[in-house]
Amino acid sequence: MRNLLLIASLTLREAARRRLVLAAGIVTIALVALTAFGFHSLATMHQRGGATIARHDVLVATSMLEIMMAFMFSFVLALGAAFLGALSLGSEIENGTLLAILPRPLRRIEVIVGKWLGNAVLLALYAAGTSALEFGAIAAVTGYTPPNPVLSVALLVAQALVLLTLTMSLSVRLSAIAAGFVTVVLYGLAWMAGIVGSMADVFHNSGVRDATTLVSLIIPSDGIWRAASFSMEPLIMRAMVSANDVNPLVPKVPPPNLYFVWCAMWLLVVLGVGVRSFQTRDI
Amino acid sequence: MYAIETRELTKIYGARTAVDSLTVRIARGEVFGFLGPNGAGKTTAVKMLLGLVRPSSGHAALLGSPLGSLDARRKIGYLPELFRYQEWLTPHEILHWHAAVLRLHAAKWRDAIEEVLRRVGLAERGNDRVGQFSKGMQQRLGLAVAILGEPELVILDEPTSALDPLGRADVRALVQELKSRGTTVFLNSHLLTEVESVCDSVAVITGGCIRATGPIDRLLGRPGVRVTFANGTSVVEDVPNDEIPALVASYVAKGAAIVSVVPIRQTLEERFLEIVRSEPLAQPVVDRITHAS
Repeated sequence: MRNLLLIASLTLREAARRRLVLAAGIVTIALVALTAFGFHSLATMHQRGGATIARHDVLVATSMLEIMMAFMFSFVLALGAAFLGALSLGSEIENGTLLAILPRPLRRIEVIVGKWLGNAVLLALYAAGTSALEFGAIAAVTGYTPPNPVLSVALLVAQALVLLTLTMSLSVRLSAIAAGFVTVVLYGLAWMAGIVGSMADVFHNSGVRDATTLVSLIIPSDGIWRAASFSMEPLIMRAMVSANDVNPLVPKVPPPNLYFVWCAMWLLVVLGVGVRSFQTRDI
Repeated sequence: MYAIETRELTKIYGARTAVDSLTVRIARGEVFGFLGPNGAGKTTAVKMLLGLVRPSSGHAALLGSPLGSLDARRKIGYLPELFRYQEWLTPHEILHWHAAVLRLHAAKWRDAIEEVLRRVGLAERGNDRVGQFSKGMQQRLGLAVAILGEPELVILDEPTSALDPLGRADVRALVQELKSRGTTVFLNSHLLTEVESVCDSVAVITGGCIRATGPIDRLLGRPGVRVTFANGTSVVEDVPNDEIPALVASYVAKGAAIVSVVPIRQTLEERFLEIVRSEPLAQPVVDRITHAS
């Protein structure tokens, strides 16, 4: 455990020293300030074509925009996970940094899991910090808070961890750039499959529905995003979503609880495959 | 117990055998030179010893423990051929991290770190970012990492590849210092003068196979002397340096007119080229284990 934490601390220190934390912090604060201004404008907009805008319309618009903001941050987290995961292990294998680390009295499982842990902490801190800022800013200017913000953030982090795990496991054998690229493509594929799956529901096409379900099991990032999105929907919005709506940002039902058990097992298995692959890889 | 003992250690990549049946025994406290041209299999052999590369077959033990033993790795220092350290850290921070992994006594970290930085000539640069260092300075840092914690076995893979002549002299002095402390040094190099000046014994590897091994004195053969007389030249073999005055005295006593007396001995470079250019042998030159005294 001690060695695992030593590796994780090295990963965290790298993020701080390479100004990743600083750069991400500045950009995020600027983004939150800008969106807060936008939400404030929305909240204070009382007239449309001479008619008064109802309060609940403003709330629905705010909640919809907030989910879109969350989607944007989930995309940033997904890319961040692919980026961090590929660089932390794949590039250190390629550039030889690990040659000075692995001969030390460390188990390889401690090295890869330690790096995973360091990156996971980074992603979780970023998700929590960003969400707290964004939700706080929106609440301050509109008075609206999503129904279950903590669960939403936890699910965004879970989605990022899925992609981090996939990238790190791939980067044991692939080059850093290839591992990152493959993960981003698979993330995009899963997202698209989610949309196609929603359309298959509308058109009652069970074959396509089953295929997209299979994709969501193999790459669970979109399934987790849908759960995050659902957790942010206010009741008033759910009441407005009709059976025939196909909106990837507003799922009509969340994934079943069993799906999250599957996701946890998926994560452990993929990480386990990465560990085993790393243990048998020549450096 | 040997510092390093390998038996038929082999690494095969697809159809290519990178290291073929490597069998060596290196005594504790010995400075061992591992020689070979580029691509001979030196680094692959070293990586197998350190657990970075999995052998295809064969066995090896370091400091009495099987390959991969964490206990043995606590007592081993390593400078990789491709050295690269976290450029966003300072030497102090890198050494501090390695001290933590080695579980050195926390109260001694500071002194130990200052000591190794001094020994490699980086005492004044301990708080600078590694990203600002030249390749030579990074290699010196690698040496500091390798000798941190007074390891029982130090494996140096091309330790002077980025160093200037002054740096090379420093490394030679460092190796001698390690030897005087009883540390076993495995020196992987193709710089033969460097090896000849510091190593007790060597092995020559080409195409993954050991072609010759043994103490340097035995490998190079006994020295001789070339005596030039007023009317010709004579080469006398098997004459150690301390016997040359007596030889000269005997010639003078016989009334010979001596013009010059030149001790001759094959250099390691000459011997190396002879071995590398010769046909592969079924058995290596010199007994494989004779140097393991």
